Amino acid sequence: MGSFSFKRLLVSIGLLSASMIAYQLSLMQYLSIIQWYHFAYMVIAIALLGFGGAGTFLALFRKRLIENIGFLLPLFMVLSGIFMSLSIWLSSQPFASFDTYLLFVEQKEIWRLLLFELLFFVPFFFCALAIGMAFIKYTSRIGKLYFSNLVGSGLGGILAIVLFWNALPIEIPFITGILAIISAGIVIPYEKRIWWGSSILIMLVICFFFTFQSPLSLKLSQYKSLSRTLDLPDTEIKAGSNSPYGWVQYVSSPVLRYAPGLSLSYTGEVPVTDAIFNNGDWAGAVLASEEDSEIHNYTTSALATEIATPEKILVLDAGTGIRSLYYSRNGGVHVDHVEANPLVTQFSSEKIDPDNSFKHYQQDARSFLSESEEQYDLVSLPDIGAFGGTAGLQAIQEEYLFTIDGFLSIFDHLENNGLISVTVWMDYPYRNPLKITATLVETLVDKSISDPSKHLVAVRSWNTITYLLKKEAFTEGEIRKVREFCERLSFDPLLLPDISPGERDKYNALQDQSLFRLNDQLLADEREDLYETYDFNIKPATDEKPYFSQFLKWKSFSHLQELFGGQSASFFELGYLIVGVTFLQSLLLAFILIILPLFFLKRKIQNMTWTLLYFAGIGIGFMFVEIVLIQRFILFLGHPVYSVAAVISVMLLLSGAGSWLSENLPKGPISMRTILLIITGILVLYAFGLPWVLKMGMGLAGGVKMVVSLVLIGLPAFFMGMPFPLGLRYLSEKNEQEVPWAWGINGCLSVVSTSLATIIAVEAGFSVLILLGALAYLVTMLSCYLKV
Amino acid sequence: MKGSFFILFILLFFYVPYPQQDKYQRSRSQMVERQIAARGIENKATLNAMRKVERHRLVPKDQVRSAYQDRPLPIGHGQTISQPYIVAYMTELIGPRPGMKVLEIGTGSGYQAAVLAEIVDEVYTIEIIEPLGVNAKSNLKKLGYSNINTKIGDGFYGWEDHAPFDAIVVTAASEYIPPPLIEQLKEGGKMVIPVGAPFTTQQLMLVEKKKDGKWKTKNLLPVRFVPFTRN
Repeated sequence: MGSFSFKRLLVSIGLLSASMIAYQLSLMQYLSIIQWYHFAYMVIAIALLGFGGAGTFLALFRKRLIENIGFLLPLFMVLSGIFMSLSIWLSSQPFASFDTYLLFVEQKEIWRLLLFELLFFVPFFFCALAIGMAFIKYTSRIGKLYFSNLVGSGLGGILAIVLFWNALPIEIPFITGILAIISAGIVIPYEKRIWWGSSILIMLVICFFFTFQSPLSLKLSQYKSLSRTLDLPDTEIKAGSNSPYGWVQYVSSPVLRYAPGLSLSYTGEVPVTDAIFNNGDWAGAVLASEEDSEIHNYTTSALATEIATPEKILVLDAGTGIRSLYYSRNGGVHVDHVEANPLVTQFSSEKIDPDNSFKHYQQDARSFLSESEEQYDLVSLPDIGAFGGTAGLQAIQEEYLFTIDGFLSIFDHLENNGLISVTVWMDYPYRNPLKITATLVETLVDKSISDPSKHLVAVRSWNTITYLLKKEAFTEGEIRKVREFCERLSFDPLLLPDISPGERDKYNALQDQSLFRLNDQLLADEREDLYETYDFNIKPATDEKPYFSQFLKWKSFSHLQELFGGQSASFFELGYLIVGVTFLQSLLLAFILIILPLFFLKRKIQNMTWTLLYFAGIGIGFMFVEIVLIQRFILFLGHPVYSVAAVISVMLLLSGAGSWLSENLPKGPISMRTILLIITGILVLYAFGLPWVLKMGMGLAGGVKMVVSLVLIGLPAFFMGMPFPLGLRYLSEKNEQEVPWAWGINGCLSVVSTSLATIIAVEAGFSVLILLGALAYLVTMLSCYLKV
Repeated sequence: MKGSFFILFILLFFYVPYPQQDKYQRSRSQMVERQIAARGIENKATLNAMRKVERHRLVPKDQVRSAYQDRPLPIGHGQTISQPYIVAYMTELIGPRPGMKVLEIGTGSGYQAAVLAEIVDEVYTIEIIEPLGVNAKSNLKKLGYSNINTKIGDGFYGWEDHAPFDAIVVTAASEYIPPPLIEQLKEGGKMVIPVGAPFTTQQLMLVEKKKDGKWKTKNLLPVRFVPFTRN
């Protein structure tokens, strides 16, 4: 073996793990920018199978690898570091250029996707080989090694957040690569230190140079909003900045205009606007002057100010501030502008609010609602959907603002005559308008309002619908004003307390009456039947299943394919379909990586059932719990970025601590059973108690919330860090040959359960998911009764 | 001997390209019968135009084999060439006939302009993305269309010099209808706008400008969604 101390190995593994987690998170961002979030999800899931692949490789060539660990360990670390940026560079070359959007259009894209995934498999594979070799070589001290691995990974999560604030997406892979190469430098063999030292130094200099002169570029999909905007003449990116919230860019164009659902009665000029994009997706238009907001007087969004004179207004997810500006110029005396992304505010506030006429809150909407005690005349929500539909790319994006719980929270902030205003883009087949109607109706029912139809008004243009929900019933005067507004701008009422059939399509006819009929069904007591029979999921989202934009029902997909054709049907719900494909793909690969080695190791494996059940169980359980905690804490901490960082870092750090202390526990199945039973108990408690605890704590101060998060995430994580080293130690005593296989099983099942967890969360909710996590640990515990 | 070679050469010259040409002709006929007429398009002028226009010469080279398939195809820059049926449906909607002057916003591949040019007298088409506009202009010229006028520019302002138009086809739709286009539409004229993300046209918006200058929109559905009825 190489001549390096165990302490140096611990530091090196910690640093390598930190670099890999930071790289993984930065790769997620990079792929979200050039493609979409779902695609990033898919590639990372497959790339993480590098851990499974490494387990197989180690199982097959264990002896030879361990014999040469002194040379191979730093080599694999260096290769991992080099491929962090090299894989990105190769993936952007023409031979590998892939577009998620064309996945269901062109067959050749499937092969390109496989190549793409293979490229990102490489850095993970080498990193996992290095860590796996260390685990196998020092199985007796696995607790400390696993501690180093987990703590390093936890710190990697924090490092990623720091890098997002301070480096561009094309620079980060070089920085993480430098860390991986340094980790190699820590464990170079003493006898060849000069050769190794100089090689590593040269590589570090090259990476350092490329960090500042990055040869990487961001080649966005041609279907991303930013790409399509940059195709317009004389359009250019004026500024850009990175943060954990995304890569924000300010684009200026002489031909870009924004007037959603503009009345055809309008004959004036449509003002030219600039725009902001986040990760290449449209984040909002930026008006050139305050007067330009007046054009919204000719859209359905003007409905609230047309029938009432709200003075105290809350604008949630305010984006680039067009709504805030519009309301402040149309009677709003006090406008609270709530936006979570600081870069969006920074880039837009100079133009949109130069004299600070409204009050800015840099906060997530639900967090603001839970902390604020203000009452408002009007609460304005961001537009739902997109012109022509979103192709389902928002499907697995948690949208807590549009859950019933979210609307109930908004309702509580309304004055007695207060209004909620939300505009929805028309789509076909009808999904968004029906789900928002259902959500508003159920909100009112939940507030014990017996006749919701008296509290709802909706007005339709040729492509938008604006809904108003009023705390008290609409008055006759207000209803008259709605009709006058429609008449003046050639809009049609969709919902009105005393609506007559003939007035619903006076100016904007539809081919059939189904939109009206379905809305009426939702207002009547036939909602549940419609949720069940409609081909899309239009049941309102809840905090338990906060996926407002998820409409796909798997059982109806074949019907949609019959009606619209396979290709077109795929674009209704591209996002969720990609998650399904990811799951199947990773299941197949996991099968190949786990089952295949069995044929080669057949003679050596004695405890197949136990090894499989134990390491698969803790792999699945850990990921299910991690995903539930991330989702639950999004609402509590106010933003996905904080939640991901807190959950990943705290879970890994505390699991690391648990792993370290597990070395003090007696060897054998009794310790394992006890720990697994404790974990199962905690998870069952969490399934029922955590939502309630988090809801109670929503209004707490930031510092207190962090302590609460640390305790609530850390408690299960501490115990969840123990079964893996305990099991590995136990297995190594029984049959050391199986250790790499067990490690591979754990890695593979962790990946498979990532996409599986998302599907379960969408279909059944977070409580079911955490209970299934508890079940996985229970099965693992029961497996310890098997004779090994 | 020389004469025999000459005859053989002549035969080969005409024979070899013929099946290729014939194949596309056959593909077009099948496309019209199976994809378009079978779905209820009855306008004879539209059906004849769809039979004539060589769609395979307007798509990118790597899409030629798929040119007559029943689906939209990518043409670069995030744009698509519409499914043949949608092109036929939009053409039929504006009621094309000789003597008409039609404006198209969003030339794209040039296919819609070519179909219209087979029926109406004048087609004016504007494309904002320069590479697409240049390519379409070149392809349409090669196909010999002398009644199509192309321009690279912002479709927001329409083409005032040649207004008013009998019909306007807005193939590159935005989330609002530019007021100048409404103005440039003749009274009694029709404007048609496909609405949907790329590869997914699910609605067609028809705007009819009435004789009194007022207008009405109508949402038309190329594919009607009929939900399953489950007990």
